[in-house]
Amino acid sequence: MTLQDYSIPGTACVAALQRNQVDHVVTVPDWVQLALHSHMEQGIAGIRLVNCANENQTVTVAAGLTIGGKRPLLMMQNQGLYNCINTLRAVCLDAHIPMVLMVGQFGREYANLGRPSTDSRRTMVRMMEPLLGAIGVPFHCLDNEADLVKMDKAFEQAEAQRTAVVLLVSAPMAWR
Amino acid sequence: MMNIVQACGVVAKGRGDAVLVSTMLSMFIFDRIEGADGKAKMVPLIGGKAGLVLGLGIAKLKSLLGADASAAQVATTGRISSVPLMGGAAGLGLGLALAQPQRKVIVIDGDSSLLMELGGLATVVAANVKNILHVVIHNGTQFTGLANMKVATTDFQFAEVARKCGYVHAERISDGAQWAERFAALLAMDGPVFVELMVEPVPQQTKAGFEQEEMPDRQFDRMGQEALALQAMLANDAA
Repeated sequence: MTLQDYSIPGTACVAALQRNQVDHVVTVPDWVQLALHSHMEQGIAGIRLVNCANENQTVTVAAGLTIGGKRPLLMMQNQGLYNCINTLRAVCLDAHIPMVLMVGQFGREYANLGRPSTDSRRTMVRMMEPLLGAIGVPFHCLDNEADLVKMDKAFEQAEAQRTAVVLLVSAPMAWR
Repeated sequence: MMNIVQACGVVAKGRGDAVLVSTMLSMFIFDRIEGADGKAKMVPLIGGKAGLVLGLGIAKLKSLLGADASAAQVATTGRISSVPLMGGAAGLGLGLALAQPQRKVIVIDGDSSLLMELGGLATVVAANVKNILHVVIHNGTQFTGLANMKVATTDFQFAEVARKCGYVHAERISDGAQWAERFAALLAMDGPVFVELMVEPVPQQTKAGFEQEEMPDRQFDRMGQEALALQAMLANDAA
């Protein structure tokens, strides 16, 4: 298996966002999802990009959008998720405002792809799944393009359970 | 400087159908002065400690005369509280302003809260929303009215920083009467608009022998309840 086998094309992600009727992407940019960020910055009809100064703001802005009747998706990297745990706690776990986050596993060594992320030698990668389990936030891994169907499931799950659902992006996205 | 009843009372009396996002202190004051009927009309806005005591006293009396004397029965129509979550108010307000561009959104931030997420000023400006009035209660204290702990910096120039970040208009107001006079015009302006209110801290309660009460469940449930109610109200208005 090569990196290409794990790289999800940015265009496929755009299609998944459109299929899920996402109207706002709220973000602090992520190295793993640069290809998708690039598409967003070029402009996608019907999807507004909201750049935030840090990840706590992505969560609160997305909450306001959701309350106001919109359907946002958040993009950040694993370090950003660690940064906004208390905001996720308040907004999604206590206040039960649903949202879907795409979180890039920044720092994941390519040798770890296809293996459990908990075997990674990088702390920020290795801790992510156990942390999400510990705080009770459901997550799904996007290991290849076929996994994008999990975005549909994530929106259904977020709304049904009124919680945050995280999609962990395993490998750098493909620039196509 | 004005007192907190003047600072929040002007907003409660004049907000109309604007959505209101609060932090902890202002949430408690809005609960008191809007009371069970959601109307602030009876509460006098008088300066100084006497005005604070009178305003809160009448607000309390008003809530006791409401349909249900329980504190949990205060009306929160069109309100959401960033509680317990310091630093979240501006983001919540920005999301609401983006989603509802035809409706005004008023954010009543606290100085400690805003310092935690000062970068949020840049985020608000970058989003280019016109319908947000961002107010900070600058009283230099945290746990105001309880232990009055000092904020990291007490002479921070919030309005100046907001102006430098690119808010269309930013000003500092110290006088309660001036705030009452300026509020309607500031709310009507195309924003984002920022107002720094210089507010006297509510007197400290704690002293030797003081016992802190347990936090009620409502403190942890209310943001979710308010979110659901606000979501339904906005959806209903849009229909």
